Amino acid sequence: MSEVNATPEIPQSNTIYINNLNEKIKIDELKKSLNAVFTQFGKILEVLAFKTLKHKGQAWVVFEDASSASNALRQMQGFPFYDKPMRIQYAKTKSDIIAKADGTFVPREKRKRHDDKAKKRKDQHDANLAGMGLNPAYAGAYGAAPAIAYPGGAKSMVPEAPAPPNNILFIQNLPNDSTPMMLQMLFLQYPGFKEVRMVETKPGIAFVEYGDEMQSTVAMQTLQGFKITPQNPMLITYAKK
Amino acid sequence: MVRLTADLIWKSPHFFNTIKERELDLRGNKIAVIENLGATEDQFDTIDLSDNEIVKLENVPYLNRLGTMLINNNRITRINPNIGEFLPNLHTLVLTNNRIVNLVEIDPLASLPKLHFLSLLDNNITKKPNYRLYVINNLKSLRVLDFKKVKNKERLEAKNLFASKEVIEEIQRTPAKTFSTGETPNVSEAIEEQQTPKVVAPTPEQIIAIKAAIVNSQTLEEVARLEKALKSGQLPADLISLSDNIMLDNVDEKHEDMIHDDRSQADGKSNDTQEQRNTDSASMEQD
Repeated sequence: MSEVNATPEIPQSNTIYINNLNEKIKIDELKKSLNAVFTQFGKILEVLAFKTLKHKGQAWVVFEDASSASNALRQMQGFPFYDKPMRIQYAKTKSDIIAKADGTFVPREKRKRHDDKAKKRKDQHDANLAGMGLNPAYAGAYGAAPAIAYPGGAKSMVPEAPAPPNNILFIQNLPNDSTPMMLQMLFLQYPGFKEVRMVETKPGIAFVEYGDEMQSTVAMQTLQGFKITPQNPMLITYAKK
Repeated sequence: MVRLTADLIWKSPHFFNTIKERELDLRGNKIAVIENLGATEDQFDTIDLSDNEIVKLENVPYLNRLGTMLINNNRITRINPNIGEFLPNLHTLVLTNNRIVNLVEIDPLASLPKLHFLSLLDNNITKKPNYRLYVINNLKSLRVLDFKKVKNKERLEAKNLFASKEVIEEIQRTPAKTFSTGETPNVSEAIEEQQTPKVVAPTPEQIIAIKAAIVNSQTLEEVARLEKALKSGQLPADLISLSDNIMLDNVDEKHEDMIHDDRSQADGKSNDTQEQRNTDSASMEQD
């Protein structure tokens, strides 16, 4: 009953639409088989089948004559094609190849599709670029740590035992002309920053105070080995209590 | 009735079809006989001969490139036994809606080395019992038959079914009554020797007819049947069946290049046939 209702709604056409096709068949073989099975009804102009999710198990066959399409629809309805009965109806819209032949083809529609496709590709390219952007930072951070830690450790950590965690950081190996403002700009970006104190009589060292030990640890780990000048990588430790 | 000439081939549409193969469209030309296909110069992946009146699949030149033949809606009843030599790369053969009736008539397709896809829909052969298994057993390279994949389970089943020779003989018996293919010289010689001492028959014409039938029979059962017919004296019924055999034998012998002696016999037989059946002789002349 529903089928009877459905049939008159779609007018006769040169193109038949088929669904309930076996989805395991490769697209090339599917097209070839559809061409072989429907060529008995008349000349076939085109066979359309796609493997996208939306178009799985479906195909369109465009005949040269509308009568061929009618015969095909009537005789092959329910035909067991690769073990699944075909479900055939007329196509709802006129095929491009037919529209081109009779001059009613609208180029705008095709261009729009093409633009959408190009736009999609561009977005994908941007995503790839963003992905690549992450790599240098990570590689840089990883590469910097071992190179600097060794000379720093060898230089001055051996004479003294490491200090326990403290909310105040002790900065060494600073250039002689560094100023509190310079260090403040650097350490201010981490949460919990309170103040920078420098010793007038001893250039090259400084104390940076944070709210608690957790916050100072974060700043210490991040800025350890930071080069204010190329020959002065910072050496950061916890201040002695 | 239109002849397939080089001119027709050149005038017919050449194009890249929907599956991106170079195709020659000879559709709907009322062609009765395949001939002059050499004029295609082996330039086509697909040849479409649908909607014609072809009776026999023969006269095909060596076409190395041809991969697909579409022969829908014709009157194919026979296939050239040596077709595999001329179409080494044929992988798709569509014979939908033709007149192939007997199972043995698809045996020549076994000579096609790369036949993967075959359609015999709307032929009477598909109504024979064990049709699908017989085809699967004979055509080893087949992958898809009548738009259904050939599964390994079916191959094994077909192999088991046709393992005994009795089944094969049963299947081949039916077509032997209506049509005989080439025979082996040894068998024919042996049968002739057997027949010579028992020359006892009412009419010389009947003797000749019976000899021809025995020579062309394929199985011992056929020979036994003919001898029994002689003894039982049912000549009228046998003559009808014998004349049928003679007609078909003449067709078969004309298509095969037989030696001079056989040709003279064939001429005699064709004369007899013409006297009895004018229509058939007309069709034979056209062939």
